[in-house]
Amino acid sequence: MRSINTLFTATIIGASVYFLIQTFNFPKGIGNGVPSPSFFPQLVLILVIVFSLLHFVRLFKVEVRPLFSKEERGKIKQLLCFIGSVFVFVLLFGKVPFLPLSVVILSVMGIIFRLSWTKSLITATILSTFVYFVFVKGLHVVL
Amino acid sequence: MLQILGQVLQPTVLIFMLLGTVLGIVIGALPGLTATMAVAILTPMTFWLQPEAGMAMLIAVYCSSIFAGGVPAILVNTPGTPASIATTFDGPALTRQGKAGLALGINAIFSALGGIVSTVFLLFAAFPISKFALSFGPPEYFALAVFGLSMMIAVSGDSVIKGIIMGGIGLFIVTIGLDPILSYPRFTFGSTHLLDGLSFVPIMIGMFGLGEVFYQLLSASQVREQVKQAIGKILPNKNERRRLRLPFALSSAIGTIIGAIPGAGGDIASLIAWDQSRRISKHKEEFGKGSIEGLCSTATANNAIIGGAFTTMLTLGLPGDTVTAILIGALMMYGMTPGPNLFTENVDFVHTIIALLFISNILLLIIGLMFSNIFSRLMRIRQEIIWISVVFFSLVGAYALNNSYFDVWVMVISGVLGFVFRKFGFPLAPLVLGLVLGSMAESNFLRSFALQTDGSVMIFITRPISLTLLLLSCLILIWPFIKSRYGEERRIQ
Repeated sequence: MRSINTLFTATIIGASVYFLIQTFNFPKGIGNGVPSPSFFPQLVLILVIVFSLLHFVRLFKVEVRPLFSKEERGKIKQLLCFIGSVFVFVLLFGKVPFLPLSVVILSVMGIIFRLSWTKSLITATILSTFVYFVFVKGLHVVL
Repeated sequence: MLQILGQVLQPTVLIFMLLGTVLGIVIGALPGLTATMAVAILTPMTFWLQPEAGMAMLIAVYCSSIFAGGVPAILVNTPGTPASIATTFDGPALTRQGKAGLALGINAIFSALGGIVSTVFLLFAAFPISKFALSFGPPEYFALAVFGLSMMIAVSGDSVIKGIIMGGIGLFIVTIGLDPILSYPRFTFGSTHLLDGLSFVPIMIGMFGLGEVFYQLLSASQVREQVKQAIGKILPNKNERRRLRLPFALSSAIGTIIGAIPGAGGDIASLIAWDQSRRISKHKEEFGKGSIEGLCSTATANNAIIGGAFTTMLTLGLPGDTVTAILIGALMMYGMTPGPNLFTENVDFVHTIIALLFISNILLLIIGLMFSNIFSRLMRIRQEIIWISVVFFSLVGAYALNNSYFDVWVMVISGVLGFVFRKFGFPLAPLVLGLVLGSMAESNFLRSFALQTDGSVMIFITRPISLTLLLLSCLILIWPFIKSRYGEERRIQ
């Protein structure tokens, strides 16, 4: 599990270095000693890089607990399916009429959670209708 | 005064307050759903209401969910919110002794009283503090932001290093968009959506709504245990009331003070209050085995943090905890910026907030006592249905803020990142503080330089308030390292 932790910390360092390089393209300040637009991001990114490096080194010194317990490992597939359904909802949001989209996706979410399809459909329909009336009819949000 | 009362006693305000109280109790009583999550997903809905009604709902959700978190802690030994962890020390033992009703009664009464005492503190402390803060210039505001950040890092849990990294990431996110002096676009990659930066509320909904659901899906187990037996009497008798006076007074003070410290939430306050009450009690041996004093101290401290957190938020613009961080976003949504200027520009709204806090605590006392015996039934709701509802409200809520699909993407990505960070043991609270205080820190830092001609940092050192705050921040930052180095770290077990 140390490898995944080091990979995660390395990603933070890598992203911070990438953004830090971007700051060198920012213009200089307005003079009078006022720092340039790059000053604050550089300060913050250097702070993140330094402390991430410290954390990186520390990872090799301390015992790292497994990222997922045995029980959690059994649920990863379910979690990924759930996250996938959320992404599908967002991708289709605005492109497909709201009510059918939400009823279908929420029913799928219910089935992912191993609810019976009738319970999933009833939950999805009640929630979708409630949200539709609250946001569209009540608050005049264009969904 | 009458004008304020007229505003808060409007039927719409009262209806939304009642709705918020009921929602808060439901969310708080369901293990795993936090006050932060409740306030985060309901904030977009309040955008469409009058500020008084919207704030009434959010305050009611905040107060009642913190109180209701104690209900599953008492009945099934599972804290509903992190603030109720210490309630499990004595609550379940009282339930096993057949005193569940008394435990629920004490929880309701002292949560409300703790909230009321801290609101009295807010009433008397807020105006002098804001008056003092009005003299602050950019260097003082910069130092104040640094102080707030350092406080959060100091209480960021097991790893200070991870807390600092998260605080830095929060500060970095704030730099996305136009810079405050030259309006130069930073890290926008040509996207017009990013010119105004990333909206704070969708990030909060993602981190504490969606991310929390992802996290719970993986780690939580369904609470099936039910309380079958009768809960017994609810109100404490005269003798019991006398025993509870001292822990109540002590815990009110501890809760209020800890609430005022940026980043220190109800979990810390109730643990410290329980420990201190045990020290002064004549019945020390009962603590942890069903002590009504122990339960009173945790219930009081939990809700007493609210007034303290509001004091820091309203007067200085510093969030006392993650809920008040979201409330800062909500106030900004209504066109108001928390800080000393709020007390000159929108003083009526400050009075309204104080009145709402009083009414909300009274309402939770009434509802808490009247419906204590039916709370256990809330735990029969399946977690899966709650998760689907939270995700759905998070998605629609993020969109409804600005009718923006971009905000929905920001929310979803924040949710996934929030889950990943939590899984790797990175605390989210410092990131939130970075998000809230980042722009305050940067803009005032740059303005401080613009005030002088030589571009020297001496401006931060030559002004006594900024110097004091910066020195305090340094001390807070290095304190955990000193403590761990000399092995003096003491944890409350």
